Amino acid sequence: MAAPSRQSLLEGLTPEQQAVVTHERGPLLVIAGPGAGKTEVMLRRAAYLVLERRIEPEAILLTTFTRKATEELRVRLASLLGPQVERLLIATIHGFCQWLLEQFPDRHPFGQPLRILDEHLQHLFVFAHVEALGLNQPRGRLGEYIADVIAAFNAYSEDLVDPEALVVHLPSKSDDPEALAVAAAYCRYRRLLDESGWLDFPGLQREAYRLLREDDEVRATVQSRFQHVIVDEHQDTNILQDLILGIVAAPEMNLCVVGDDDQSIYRFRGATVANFLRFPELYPQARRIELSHNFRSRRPIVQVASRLIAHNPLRYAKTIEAVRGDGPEVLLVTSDDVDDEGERLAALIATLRAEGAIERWSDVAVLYRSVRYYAQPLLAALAARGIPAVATGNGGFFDRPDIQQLRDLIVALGWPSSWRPDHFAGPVLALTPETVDRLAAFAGNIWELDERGLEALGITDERDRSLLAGLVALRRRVKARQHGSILVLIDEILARSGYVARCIERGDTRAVLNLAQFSRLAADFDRQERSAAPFRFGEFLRSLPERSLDEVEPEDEDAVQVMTIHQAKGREFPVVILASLVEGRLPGRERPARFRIPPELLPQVTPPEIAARRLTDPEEALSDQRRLAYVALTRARDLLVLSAPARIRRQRSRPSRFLDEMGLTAERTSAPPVPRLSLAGTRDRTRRRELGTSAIVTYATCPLRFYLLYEAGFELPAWPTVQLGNAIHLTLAALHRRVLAGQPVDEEFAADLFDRYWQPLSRHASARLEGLYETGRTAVIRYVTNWHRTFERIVGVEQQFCYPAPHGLVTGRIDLVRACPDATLELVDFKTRATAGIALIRPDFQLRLYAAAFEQAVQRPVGRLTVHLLADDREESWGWSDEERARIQAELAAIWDGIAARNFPPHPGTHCVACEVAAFCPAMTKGA
Amino acid sequence: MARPRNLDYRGFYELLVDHVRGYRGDVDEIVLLAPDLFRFLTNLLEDPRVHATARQLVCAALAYFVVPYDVEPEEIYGPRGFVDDVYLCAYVARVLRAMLPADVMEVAWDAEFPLFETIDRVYEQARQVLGERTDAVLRYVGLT
Repeated sequence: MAAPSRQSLLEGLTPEQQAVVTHERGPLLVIAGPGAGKTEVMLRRAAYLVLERRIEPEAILLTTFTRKATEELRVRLASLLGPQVERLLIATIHGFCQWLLEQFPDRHPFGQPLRILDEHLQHLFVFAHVEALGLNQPRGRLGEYIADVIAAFNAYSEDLVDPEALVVHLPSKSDDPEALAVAAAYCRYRRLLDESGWLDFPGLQREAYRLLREDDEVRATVQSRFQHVIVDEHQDTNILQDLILGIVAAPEMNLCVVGDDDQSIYRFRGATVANFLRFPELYPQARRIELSHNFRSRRPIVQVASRLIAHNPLRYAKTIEAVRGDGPEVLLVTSDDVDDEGERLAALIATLRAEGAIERWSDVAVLYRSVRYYAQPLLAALAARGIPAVATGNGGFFDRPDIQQLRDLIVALGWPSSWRPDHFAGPVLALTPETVDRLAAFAGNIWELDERGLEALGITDERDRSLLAGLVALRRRVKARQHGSILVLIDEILARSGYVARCIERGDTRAVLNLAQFSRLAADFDRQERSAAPFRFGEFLRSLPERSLDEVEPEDEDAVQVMTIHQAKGREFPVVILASLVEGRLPGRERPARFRIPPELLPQVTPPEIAARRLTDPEEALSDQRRLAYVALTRARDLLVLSAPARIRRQRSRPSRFLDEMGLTAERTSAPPVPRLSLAGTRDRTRRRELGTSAIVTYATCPLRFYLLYEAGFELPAWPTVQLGNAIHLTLAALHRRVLAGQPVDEEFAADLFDRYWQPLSRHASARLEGLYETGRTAVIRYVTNWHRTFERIVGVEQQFCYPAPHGLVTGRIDLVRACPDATLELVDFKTRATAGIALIRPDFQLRLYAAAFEQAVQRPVGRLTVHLLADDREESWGWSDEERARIQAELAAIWDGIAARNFPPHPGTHCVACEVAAFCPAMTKGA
Repeated sequence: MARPRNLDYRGFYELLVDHVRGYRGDVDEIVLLAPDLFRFLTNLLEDPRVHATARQLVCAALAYFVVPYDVEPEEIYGPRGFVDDVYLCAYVARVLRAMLPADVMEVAWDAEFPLFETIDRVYEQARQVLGERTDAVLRYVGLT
């Protein structure tokens, strides 16, 4: 790939954008309004640094707000930089902190690998330790209580609150017994985390900050590596994150922050716009560039939004120019009550479509401050008109009948008395109505019946009988505690009932996606709670905050998009309807945060650098909501509709003050005229994405398997053979690294390594596990004995690469690289599977894919591709030619096309024997 | 408003929401507030800062929601029958205002509109609708 020239990196950019790209050195503040193309500018700056300024890619750190955004940045940057993109560090700030701790495992007590509590695991951790934390007598719903407690813990942690000092000082300022209990619990929580070696997200940042401040060597190493730090979405950073970034960039201060103070909407998570607003104060030498061209919205939208946000007291004043020029006026829809608002909006949407103003339902987004509480009338009205809608933020996951039945079944397997006969009548089991009736009429204990007993009960349907008998058998395994994990129960129920296969067959992707989400919940539970007790799992589900889990929606559905403003951030739509603009909803009442530390206490419990950064806006809560409204308005490309109901559940209410501030009055209107829109060029492009080579290979063998594992994201019970594979893989990697470091290795060393990495998931010793252990140990010993002569040719171990492809980025890692006598390279991949398993992973295809990517990344010719079959103690090799390169590139392009077209048919073959999702496959279950 | 159900459990609050949903009439402003007031009272009971005397008042108002034959039974009047329940809630809320710190009350109030303003307004409206029967309501739960 030819590298873009200086000229092409600046092409199509405004002078301000060009100034950002070419800024030489020193701190840079980029104030980028909505639709200003800031991501593109940031990426071009990174590319410019590498290609024009010859900065080593490793010296650049690029941070953003979400993991999804990091993927997008990486993929987009790859089209400018090619494989070099792998050498930049592109991460969320949490991701950067994790990277830092992983680089210096000996400098902190958390070891390697780090054990990180993500959001769910943190909830589970607190849930599992409720008593140890002294929180065992909460009033109200446990789920909400735990969520409040975690929010408080995270806030304390990010503010570096000293737990001991908090316990000592809080009683002088608060007489709230619950707040005191939570302060004491925070102390215990920190201790528990330290003892068990877990790190929560705030802990990652706290620990990274501590290292950077206190450890001179760590700080020096990190500072000397990163010459340029580019921070996206800087307005959404918290104080601690900003302090971290400041230290990393400190020596040369090549710190470029990009953001929009008007779009800072994560205050409730601890973010503070103060970081962005105070930048010029903290870095007086900073250059300031404003990107004030809006390439997204028509002029009336920009005008209304600008008038609104001008009322915020603390902000950078700016003048935004609408590049796309004039468009339809902003519409105002009024209604008598929030209950009638839904009908008015549904009618408007129907008219937009009928008049041809929009071509697809998904051209319209309806935004609410809260979908969960406010969107019901609209959803009902849309449903009544047969207009498809996708509501995110509705928390409807557990409303799904299949998820309910699955949950009830699992709980019943551990606790049969929770079972009611009507639980049998759900879509997962799909028993015949006769069977359901028979079961309902039976007075005895169903869980004690065997197949003959079921027959005696009059259950004539053979499938039903065998399915029920299977469940009863599963119940016996649970009773004897032989089931292993909750994930096993889910897997068995789904496999035996054939439910997933049925869903796939009838094209019900929504069901498949939600079942996969359920499997991920269970996998989290299994990781944190070793008991595998179904009753505890039920308790855990009940402990989740009310409606905190959304139903997963298929991405490609043509439906009206109903979502919260937070979910719409960073997106755009041809038509945006901002609903429920009424005092009480937007702006709405802000509930005071539970367990907040009284402000006057902060100086006593937090370090001065945190306290000094606080910014006080007397109208903080209102400013925050005004920014929220601003984000909503600026999502619209062509038409903006504002909906202002007069009452909330018949209570007289005032129209939102924001309407006044926008220069609009909420007078009654009849049905507004529907403007004609020009929607050219407003379609979302297919999302470019990053895929690992194993995902690509999976698609090449069976698109359906790819769909289930990588699109839906099913978690499956770990197969012992996979555990064996992992242990061998880690052993060989460590062994090869030692060889590469010039140190001796022998059979005994290999065996010791294997013992260290062998970590079977099941706690129950079994003959099978014992056998696998022996197999693995023997294989690595044999490898050293028989293949040590190849060791001198090792030139690379676990080499990462990435490969820009038309629709995205392929990433991967090669087990081993050997030098060949003819100065070419040999790529080696180790396989532990038996023959059938090998068919599933197509090693020839995989290696050719590696070769195509690798030679481009390292610019050295590859001459030979080898798969090392450990089970057979032999190697198979292939040559690598131009012809094959062309073939693999064509095949890769076809695969990307298939994925982009969402083409996921099953591809039955010999590999199915070793497929972990065979029981979910319509092609397999039909044959059975 | 609605804090909808978790899993398959339906509590009294959800039943109340179902019961008054879509009600329109001359007292709809009063009747539609019943679920919010019910939630307010149950939230107060969850707060350890609410002392015993206040709790007794809260419990009296909550019990009144549940008893079948109060002064204006829902069984006979339909959703309109909630006027006396709402009246009692507002009465109790106004007494509590003098007994509890404002932030305790505010934290318990989930609805979108301002607490005290709404309480005062609905109290007056319900009192006018009930006329002399307000005494019967208070007597029923032992508050006079």
